[in-house]
Amino acid sequence: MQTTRKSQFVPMSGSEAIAKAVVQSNVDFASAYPITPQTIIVERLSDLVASGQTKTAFVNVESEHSALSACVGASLAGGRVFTATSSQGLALMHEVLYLTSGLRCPIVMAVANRALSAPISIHGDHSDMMGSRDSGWIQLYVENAQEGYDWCIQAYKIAEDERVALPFTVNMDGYVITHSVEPIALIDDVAVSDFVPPRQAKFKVDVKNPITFGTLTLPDYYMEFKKQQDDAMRHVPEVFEEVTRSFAEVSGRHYSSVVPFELDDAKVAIV
Amino acid sequence: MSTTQKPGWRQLTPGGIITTPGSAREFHTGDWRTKKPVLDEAKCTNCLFCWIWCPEPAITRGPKVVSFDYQYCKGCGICAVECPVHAIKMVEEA
Repeated sequence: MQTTRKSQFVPMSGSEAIAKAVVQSNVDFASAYPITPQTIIVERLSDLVASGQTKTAFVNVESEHSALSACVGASLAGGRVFTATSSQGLALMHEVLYLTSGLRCPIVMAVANRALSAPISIHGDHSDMMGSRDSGWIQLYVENAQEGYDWCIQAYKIAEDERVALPFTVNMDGYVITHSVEPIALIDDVAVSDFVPPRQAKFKVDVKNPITFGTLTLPDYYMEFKKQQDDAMRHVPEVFEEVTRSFAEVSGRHYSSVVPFELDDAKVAIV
Repeated sequence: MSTTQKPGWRQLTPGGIITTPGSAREFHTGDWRTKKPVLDEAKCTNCLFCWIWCPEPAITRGPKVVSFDYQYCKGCGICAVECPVHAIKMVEEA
């Protein structure tokens, strides 16, 4: 990450930065169930919805399985959707993770990475997301709260790109990033809104133009759709480059898929 | 199994979205049948119990007796069980 532009820095925890990015990104719908250490994301987002600072609809549910299910419905209806979870919550979502990617819903989910039980732990560990590694979601791991904020915004641009149309997880270490307060360089509301204008879904649930989602697929077609998902995932690197380049123009911060470290006089590099 | 070339992943809509309403009509579920209902027209009283019970619906109403739509009849046999005058027999498919 390179900062080239002078910005106004605001002290924020990783969770608060994520909630701020969500309300700036023209998100239509959010549903999430609180779980440590993701709770503050949900709390701050609820605060911002309740105080009328965003038009995002927030739906309270009784579990993570229901949260992501509600999100899939909202996404199929053409909305831009956000959710967040952690650890056991992500495990409870497991079934719906595959529905989300298979139905090609470009939902963005913040994951506050935390160890899976047992023994019970509420602290940072990637075992939650590693267990969901092959569920067809794009995974990105951030290093600090600023990256969490920046990636929550960029994630929509990649996820919703027609070449991709896959869900996206922004992963941040539980507590270490979610709860640490850092100076965050915010982008102004108009610039973020221009960067991620309201979602225009190509296919959506619409009573005036009825179409069918989630059809039964027998073995003659099943792998064709898995191949589509694989092809979409292979388009991520090129879209990543385009999006990070245009984001740099807005924010002054440019993210690369490969960051060199001490390579100037190196004879051998390890990727 | 059909030998005609089916569309591949490049041609199919993302995630298998069906963009034309009512296309289930093209799916001939009658192919699933192992036994088919056959009517004894002399016994049929046209009471329409079979028409009410058929889950498909694959019973077609007629002026005097009912008939079966074999394109969609899955051969479940409910009509044969429910017919009060035993006018429907389930016969092994040839």
